[in-house]
Amino acid sequence: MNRALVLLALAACTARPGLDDDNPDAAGIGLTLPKGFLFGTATAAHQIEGSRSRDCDGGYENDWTIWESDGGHIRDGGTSATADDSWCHFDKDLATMQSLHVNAYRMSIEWARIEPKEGVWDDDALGQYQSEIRALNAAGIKPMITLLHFTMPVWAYADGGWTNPATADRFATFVAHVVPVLGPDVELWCTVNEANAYVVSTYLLGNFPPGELNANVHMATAFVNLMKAHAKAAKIIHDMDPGAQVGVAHSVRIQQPASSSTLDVAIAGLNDDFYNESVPRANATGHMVLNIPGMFDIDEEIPDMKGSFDYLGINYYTRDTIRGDLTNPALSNMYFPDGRPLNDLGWDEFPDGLYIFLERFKSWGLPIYVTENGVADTAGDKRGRYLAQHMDALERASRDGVDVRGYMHWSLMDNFEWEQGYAAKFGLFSVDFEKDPTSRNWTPAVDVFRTIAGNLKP
Amino acid sequence: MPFSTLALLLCAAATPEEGTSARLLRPEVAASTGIYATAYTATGLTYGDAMWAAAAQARGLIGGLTGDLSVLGLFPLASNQAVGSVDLVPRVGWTGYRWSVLAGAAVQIAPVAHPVAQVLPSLRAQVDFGRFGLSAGVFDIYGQVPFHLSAEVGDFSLGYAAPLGFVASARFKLPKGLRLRVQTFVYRLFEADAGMLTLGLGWEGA
Repeated sequence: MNRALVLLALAACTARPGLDDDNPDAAGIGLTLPKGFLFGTATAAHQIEGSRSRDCDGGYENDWTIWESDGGHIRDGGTSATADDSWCHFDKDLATMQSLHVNAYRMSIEWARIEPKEGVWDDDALGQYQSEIRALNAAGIKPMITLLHFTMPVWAYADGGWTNPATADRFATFVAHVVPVLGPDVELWCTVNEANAYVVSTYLLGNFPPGELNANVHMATAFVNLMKAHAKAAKIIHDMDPGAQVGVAHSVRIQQPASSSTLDVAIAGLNDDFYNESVPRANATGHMVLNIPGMFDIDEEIPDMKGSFDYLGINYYTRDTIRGDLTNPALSNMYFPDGRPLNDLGWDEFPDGLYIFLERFKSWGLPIYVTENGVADTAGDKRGRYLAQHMDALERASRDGVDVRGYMHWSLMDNFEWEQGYAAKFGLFSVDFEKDPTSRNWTPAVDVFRTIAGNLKP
Repeated sequence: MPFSTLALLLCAAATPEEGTSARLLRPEVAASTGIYATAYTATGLTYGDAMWAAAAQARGLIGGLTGDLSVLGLFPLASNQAVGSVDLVPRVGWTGYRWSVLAGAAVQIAPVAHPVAQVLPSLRAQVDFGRFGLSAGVFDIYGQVPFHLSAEVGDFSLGYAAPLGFVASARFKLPKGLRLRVQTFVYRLFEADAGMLTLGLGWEGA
């Protein structure tokens, strides 16, 4: 009975913090955030650089360039060939950041560009990344460097990608090559971006190369191998620079049971454990535990995993509604409900979710960075409110004792959004990809961003 | 204990005793209301929803042929949470002097969910030894409890709910066949917890 009373009491008052204001005024946001709070934007190399740069030397092939050219995989038929042409115009991106008054920038380096063939290094490309990072530091913008943001070289992809445990060793070799070069200018490292979202998109939904559908065992295997890759990378970085801050960018999504049915709640709980909980738990325990009954049951100790995070990065966008559906191979249907504020991709805008995750992960005892948060908004009329609401949620969590140290908005500018191509617009600055991929055009959210940036303590 | 041995013992125990009442053969109707709560837990989080529960059930017999229908309406107590739903559990079966077996479906309808309906099997078996009885169910108690095995003593019952939890109920006699009914259950399944507490009024035939 005691448990019953506790459950009833908890359920009556849990996890529904409620926004102080559905439409918070940016003028007051950020004033109470701690000194040194990082406020910036995030990008990924493959999404902005251009794999076939238009205005300068440099190109690469990776799993995604193959996937894009296969046809039919990208919603609008676009490719990453030019993207934002940032490889040739980083100075323009830097100026754009400066106009936002950011003090941080999360960017990734492209493994396939630096190691086009196994053991063959393009140190000119690595040198350009070094120059970009130094330019950021010189501008007072702290770089957070992501070492793996979804893509991999063709040679690693052809050998099984992340289902092959050797890929973790190969990634470690790459990390050991780049960190001595970039390390002196980098304090914040993000080893792996969204391992969970990657394996779901690749092996469950089939949206990422090689596009496997409902390949549950591959999904779990790749997830474990990605965590092994993180652990190896973290050890390499820590060995080289004990003062480095190493973490991951962990995708988190609220799992909302559609109804109170046994199926809905149980499946939402299982999803939550697999998607949201497994990664920070692996850092705390050293074990990767993945269990979906009837699909896989894994408990694997990962060498050097335990305590490998100096911080936890979370990428938060939305809330999934989960409905048990025994006719679906995944045993459930995930959807976004009607009657809610939705972004252009139909995702539920749920700012309370950011507060919930910050409060939840406080218990792991790590500093937290919001390494991504943003909204697909072609018209540009939702992003300012979205940004203000989520920063309001973050600031409330900070006031409530969460050690949250930074926020990186996804994204600086519109870019190649993976399977969406150029159809999903996440940029604070819009880009006219047809006329001028180097255009960086103001949207209303820029003013909201600048206002919040101006409120931060120096 | 082998299942066959258990079955023999239960059958033997279920042999009618002269002079005892056949309470399983009584028709009944009841209505109740209370709180239904669900949550899943993770480190640092209990993410849950609380609902107002309104329930009704009826049981009728024609000879040994037994029909049983329960209805549970769940209504959100706050916005921005799990949506409301109705659970219908129609079952039919046969009731003997000391035993009853019912089978049917637990149909949950949530009008704004996708898909709207969920259907699960629902079973209930009871054995009555007089003052003492046993009951077991799969998606029993308004279709909500995945499995339970309960002992019944007089108007009170207490049981195990799988995989981790309990069910309990009590009936208090009122005049004219009326009963005040209290029912509760709590169980944990994977990461999920569910619990309900209801208070109601019922009528039992002779």
